Amino acid sequence: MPETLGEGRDLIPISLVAHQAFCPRRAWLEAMGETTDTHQVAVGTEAHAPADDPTGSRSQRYRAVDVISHDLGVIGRCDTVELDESAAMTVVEHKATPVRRRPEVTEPMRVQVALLSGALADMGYPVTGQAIYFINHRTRVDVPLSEEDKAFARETVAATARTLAAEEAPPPLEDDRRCSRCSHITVCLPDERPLAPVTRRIVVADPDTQVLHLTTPGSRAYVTRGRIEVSKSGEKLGTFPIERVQGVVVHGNVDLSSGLIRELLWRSLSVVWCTSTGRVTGWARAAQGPNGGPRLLQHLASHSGRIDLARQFVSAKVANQATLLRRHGDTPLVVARLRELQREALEAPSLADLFGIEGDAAARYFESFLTMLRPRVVAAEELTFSVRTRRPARDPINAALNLCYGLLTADALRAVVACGLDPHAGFLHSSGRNKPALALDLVEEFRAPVADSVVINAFNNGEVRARDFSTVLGSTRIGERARKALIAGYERRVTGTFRHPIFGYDVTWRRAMEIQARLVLGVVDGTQPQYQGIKVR
Amino acid sequence: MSLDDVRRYLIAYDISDDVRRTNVAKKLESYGDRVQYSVFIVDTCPAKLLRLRTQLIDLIDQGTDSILFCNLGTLRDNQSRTLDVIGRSRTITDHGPAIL
Repeated sequence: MPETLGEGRDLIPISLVAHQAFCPRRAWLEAMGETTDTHQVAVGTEAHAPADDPTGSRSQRYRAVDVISHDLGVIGRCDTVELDESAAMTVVEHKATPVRRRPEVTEPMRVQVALLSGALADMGYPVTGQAIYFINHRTRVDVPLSEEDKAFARETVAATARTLAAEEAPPPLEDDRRCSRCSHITVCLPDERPLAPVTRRIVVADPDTQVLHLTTPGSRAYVTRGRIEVSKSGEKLGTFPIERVQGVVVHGNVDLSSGLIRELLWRSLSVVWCTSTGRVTGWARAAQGPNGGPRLLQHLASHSGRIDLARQFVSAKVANQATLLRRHGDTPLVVARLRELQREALEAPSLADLFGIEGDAAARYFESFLTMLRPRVVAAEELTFSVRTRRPARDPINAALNLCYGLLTADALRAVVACGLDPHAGFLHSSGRNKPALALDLVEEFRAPVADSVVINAFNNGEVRARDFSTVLGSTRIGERARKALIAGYERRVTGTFRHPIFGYDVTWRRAMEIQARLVLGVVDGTQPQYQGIKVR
Repeated sequence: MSLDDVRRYLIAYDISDDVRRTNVAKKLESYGDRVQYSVFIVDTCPAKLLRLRTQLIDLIDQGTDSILFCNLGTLRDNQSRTLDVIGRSRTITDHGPAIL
């Protein structure tokens, strides 16, 4: 009911109404500022290039015409408006559609041209027709509108307003063909929401970009000619094309130029600063990001507590520790006990009990940690490890774990920031400790399969040797060579794929972290009935 | 990053105007690596290639300049092929861990 909305209401972009006609959740995601970088979106953007170039106008054809209608409650932009001899106008909307598909006028397109021409008419111009121009087919299809079409367009505007005003996000479509054509599938996760194996295959491309680690102490990174260049004392150490960068992790004493930081944030990439031992000191995120509204709900949920989420984090962590120990170690009794603790965690009545279970499991797990290294390596390198010490690390294994946990936290931070959540409002870790609690929550289930496994493999394969570490007054520091080897091992691990235990498809560990973050987002905004941690088998 | 989605392109240009040539070179350097004075290797997914093409079209004079795109196939195909250089060769940013 548009008339009940009142005069002071916000005008709704026509593109958003078209999305609503396609799928209400898509409209919601767009309004929440979620963006994706897919070929489809790039093609669409290029198709609309004429609409952003008013200089393409001729006497009988106007380009990029802004329209507004208070009556319809919409605002938008026509790609092209054509005039005939009597100055009557035709609205032409440009659409990119793969050539193998038929140039068909869909419901969302119909709604879109109805609103564009309605708004143009509302502004006092004589509109006589509408058309869609299919760029790839070079075909123009006229779209005559009936009164029902116009009424439906109005109705869709009202429906869009309701979607936007709702407290909760609209639920994803269930097994719907529309999803295969939707560019927002990577952030919507319609098939993953039920937490069951994904049967149909919708191809999601991984980004062709990399996380750049800056590790050389005393070096300086800046951007020049579109490349990130690193130099030390006037000598160039290397360059990297900025379009290939997915995020930057700074280890220890490396200077970033202000121009580089601005360029990264401008591209919505994040930077994480760590100490050379792997402690995360801070991060930078772009001012623009999605899901401002759900972020508020996250704080409310964090404040009131969500023991269900906390249980899953701990249970998955203990389960993964048990699995790693079973694979590499030789202590079946400890594994059996960890399995019991994993089940207990799912029924823990309070956070205090959870911490008890987590601590108990960690103590048993780390006691047996050394059995996961090859006895030959342990003997040759004179490795010792009995208890996990963070600061200071007392032995090479602890120092290596510290570094990898830092890298893992950096990735979890990026995943949390990518879906617009606040790293500080967590569910297991207390936000009162002034730590990035939600990022640390997410880290838990990835500790064993990602970080611990990298450390074990690095020592077992001889990529990292005891002589790469130096121990002074009981605290162990990593040398340059070992740090680079561990970072390389870590990057190989997180960019490598594994079979997802819940969904059954192959994903990279890095993408899995973002999926977990988005499941938390779903729990927060009401579209995800329950959260489930990743438990590798 | 899946090796099947990323394609390797050899991109070469022929541009007479100094300013336009510099702008095109800068743009290509931000996407990939210069292997010869006017020859680049760019590894990219389809979306990014489209964006690069659009940006290049804006930079050049389509009447006089030309830019050649040569699709060398997916990165997986390229694992079994090599770029062979006689004389001084320049490095191409590879897809392993990026540590500087």
